[in-house]
Amino acid sequence: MRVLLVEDDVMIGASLQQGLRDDGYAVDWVKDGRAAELALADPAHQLVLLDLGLPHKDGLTVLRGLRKRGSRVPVLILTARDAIEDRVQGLDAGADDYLVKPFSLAELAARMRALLRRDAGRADPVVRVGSLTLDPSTREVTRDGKPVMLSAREYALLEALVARPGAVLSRTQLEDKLYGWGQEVESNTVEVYIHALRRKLGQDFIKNVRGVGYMVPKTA
Amino acid sequence: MTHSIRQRLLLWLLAALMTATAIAAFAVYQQARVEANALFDYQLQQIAHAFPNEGLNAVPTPRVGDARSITVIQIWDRAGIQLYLSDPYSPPLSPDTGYSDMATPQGSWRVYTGLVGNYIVQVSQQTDARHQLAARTALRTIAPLLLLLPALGALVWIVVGRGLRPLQEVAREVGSMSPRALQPLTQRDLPDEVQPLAEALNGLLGRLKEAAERERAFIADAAHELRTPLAAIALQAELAERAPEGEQRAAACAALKGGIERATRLVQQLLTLARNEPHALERKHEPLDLADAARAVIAEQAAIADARGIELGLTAEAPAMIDGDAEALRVLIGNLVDNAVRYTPPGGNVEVKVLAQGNHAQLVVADTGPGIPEEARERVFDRFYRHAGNGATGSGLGLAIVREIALRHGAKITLADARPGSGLAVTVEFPRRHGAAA
Repeated sequence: MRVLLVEDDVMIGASLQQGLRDDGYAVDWVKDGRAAELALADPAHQLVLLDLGLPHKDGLTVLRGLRKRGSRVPVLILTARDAIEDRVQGLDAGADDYLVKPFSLAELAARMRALLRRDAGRADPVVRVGSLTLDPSTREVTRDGKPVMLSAREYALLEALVARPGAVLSRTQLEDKLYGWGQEVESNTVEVYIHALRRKLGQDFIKNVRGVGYMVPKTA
Repeated sequence: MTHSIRQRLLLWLLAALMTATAIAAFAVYQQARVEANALFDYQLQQIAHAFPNEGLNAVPTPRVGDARSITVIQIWDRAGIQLYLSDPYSPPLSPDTGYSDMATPQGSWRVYTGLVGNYIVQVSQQTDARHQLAARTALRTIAPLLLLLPALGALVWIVVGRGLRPLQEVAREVGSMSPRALQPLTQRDLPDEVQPLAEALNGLLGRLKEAAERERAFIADAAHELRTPLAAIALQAELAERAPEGEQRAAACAALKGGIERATRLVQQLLTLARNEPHALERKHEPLDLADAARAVIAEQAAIADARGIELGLTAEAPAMIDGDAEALRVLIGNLVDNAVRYTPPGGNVEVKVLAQGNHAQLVVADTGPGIPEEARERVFDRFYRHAGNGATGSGLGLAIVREIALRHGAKITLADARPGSGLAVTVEFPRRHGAAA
């Protein structure tokens, strides 16, 4: 799961990036409004965390521009502006949620999960594909009712695949979801993790569409 | 003396009226006396000459009665034998003819003595009686005025009360004001005497409102600005809690300490700013040398500048005496030097200059940093303003504090390029201490 973090405060940005990476997100961090617009031109992110008071270009302006261009990416505003008018303005500008600083990392993570869930068109917090369940809040995976132990990367890859069962994801797309900018991508890592997942979940769980990529069938 | 304007006015007005009445009564009395004298004198003469020239015989003296007549008539013949006496209570024969005043143990008399044929006729009147008459006349004139006094008093009471009503209304309006909503007094038709008070009050209310708004804005800004470092601390603490033992936890704790240091610095700067507000307690200004103050600050910051590879130096050829608050000035110079050192890339230099010219003492802090573009030069003095792309861990208060301190010292700040197109030179121009120019 790849998220874009737009935050001009160095300390908050560093902590958020660290905390979210620990949770298995790939985090790209930009520090001003212009850089945010550049990053948002590429629809690689599943979620945007947006500060409002930004140098060069205000967060609200960035958000309005994003929506004007037709982007549907969930946006969560992170700001110190706590007045009701500010919240209303933020949500009306196209944000999906609004969190006032200071906040707890746990709450932010829960709100992010909720936004991602809604974005995937699910109401059930637990993802179910056939006999597999995946709980994003605890990152527990079961197959036929039995728990399956996964590493953080394996989990992230599985989460990306089960988000849209039946859809084929290319290796590059999968890599995008695993790594933020500046994180070294080792060649054939995706294959390594797919292999590991197949070993734990059964060979047929993830299908290889030759020359295109990987998918989890709707009725795995 | 009473403190009520109404009572005071009433008292003084009544006192003045009574004095005026008394003076009028006295004048009427005097006038009446003069007139009565002239009239009665004429009457005396008329009576005296009304007697026949001859053929008067001695008439028996009337018996003594209780009622004494005002006018007494006496007749003597040329030989000095008294022929007639209208009242035994009478003055003796006057030695001269014509009008005279005579005093007897029984009282004083006004006397007319005339020769009528062979007789001496003397007509006398008691002066007391004349005075009483004059007094009665005076009293009759004054009496209606005295009767009018209470009515006048009541009238004064009411009119003054009405006149003071706008004052009471203003007082009521001011009394009902809440310190949270200071509105100017409603426009109404105030008497000329109350208008200046209302205007002065409105002026004060305006200034109070402004001060309260500034304070509210400051608190709101401060609370808002504290959120950011607190948000960082909250996140850093959460990460530290999660971090496994060892290197990761140590790093998380170091980050947390950094966050706390930053919040502490912000709080400290907020306090400094509050202390240097124009409304803050006036601290004592003393004569001091700007060059000395700069020297002390540079000594403090030399190590930091050195660690960053920045050359920090002072040029001060002569003492520059000003009147100032030593502690505040140290903060001012410290903030300027700190900013210069912070934004100057390694290898650059920061030059502090102190000059004394004419009536001014100048402090110049010039650096070889990126400078501040012309359009941002006003805004950098705003509280919490951070110039974009400066790393953003400053509180945004440094220059706001500098401005407040400069204001308190009557100093003028100008920002300029240190060299064409780059660097920043901050000049603070203080009024020079009087008598130091020589």
